[in-house]
Amino acid sequence: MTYAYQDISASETNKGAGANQTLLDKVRNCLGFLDQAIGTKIKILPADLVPVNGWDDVVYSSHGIGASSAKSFIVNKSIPPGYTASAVRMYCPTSTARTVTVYSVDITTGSGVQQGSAGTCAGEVAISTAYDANTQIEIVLGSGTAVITGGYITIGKT
Amino acid sequence: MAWTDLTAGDTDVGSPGGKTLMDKIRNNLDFLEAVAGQRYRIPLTRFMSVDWSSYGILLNAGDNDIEPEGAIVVNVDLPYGYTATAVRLNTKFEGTISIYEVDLRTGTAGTEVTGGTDEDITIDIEMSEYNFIEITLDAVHGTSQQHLYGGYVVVERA
Repeated sequence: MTYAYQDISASETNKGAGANQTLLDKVRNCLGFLDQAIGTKIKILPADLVPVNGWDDVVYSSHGIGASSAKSFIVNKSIPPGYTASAVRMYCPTSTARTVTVYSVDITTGSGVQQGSAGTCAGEVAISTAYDANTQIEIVLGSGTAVITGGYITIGKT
Repeated sequence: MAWTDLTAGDTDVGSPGGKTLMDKIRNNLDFLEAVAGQRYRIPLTRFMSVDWSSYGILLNAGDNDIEPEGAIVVNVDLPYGYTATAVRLNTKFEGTISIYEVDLRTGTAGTEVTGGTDEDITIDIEMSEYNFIEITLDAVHGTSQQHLYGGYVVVERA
């Protein structure tokens, strides 16, 4: 179902009759719209990625981030508390020769637990940890020169 | 505008001068939508050089800007269900701005929109689960490095 934001006028009550939309209908619709805006995917953009061992040789080209010499990249993302992350997908359109490894990290201790990995930058990495306010996701893209154009984390309400 | 807690005693037939339940709900929906969008200000620290080996970005304490030595780029994501209608970057020197909608899965880009600094550049990019906005500010030729003060993306409900 697709929701659309609707203005609520002062005269509306929750006692509307017949086909008239009630206040409650409109509130429900607006909340649906806002939930939809959060979405089921948290995007990872090229500029979210940080190179391992310095920025030398890092280039932004072909609408993504890459390097003129082999480099690894890391990105951290937080998931809203109350949501569960179920998969990570990263895209390297010109070459899939990068591994993708996903960790959940406890931000109070820095300890990380590997959630899954993929041998190449193709296909989803399934993960299953529920995230709370002290957890973030770390995604490591293995060494290479391939341009990374982004990716996403699939989320759902816990 | 601020979030207002709803209390068990709130009704939709509040006494004159008092806040009704509907007033509060309307206010909170407006608040949530304001949080979601209308004008997204682009943080300066989100910009990156397109070629870090050749061009850095100078940060001078007290200047409150960034001073790129070459072209810089930023990726912008907005809530699903919203449309970006304009982009603006404010700079010390006149510059050229290039804007693309990019599909993060393939790195393919839509039609390029170009414009100058210190003006609203009209765009029409509806956000989806897989796209982002790429904004590039070209290098300034024949003078010292550019000074970028800030910028924004204008957002409307799709």
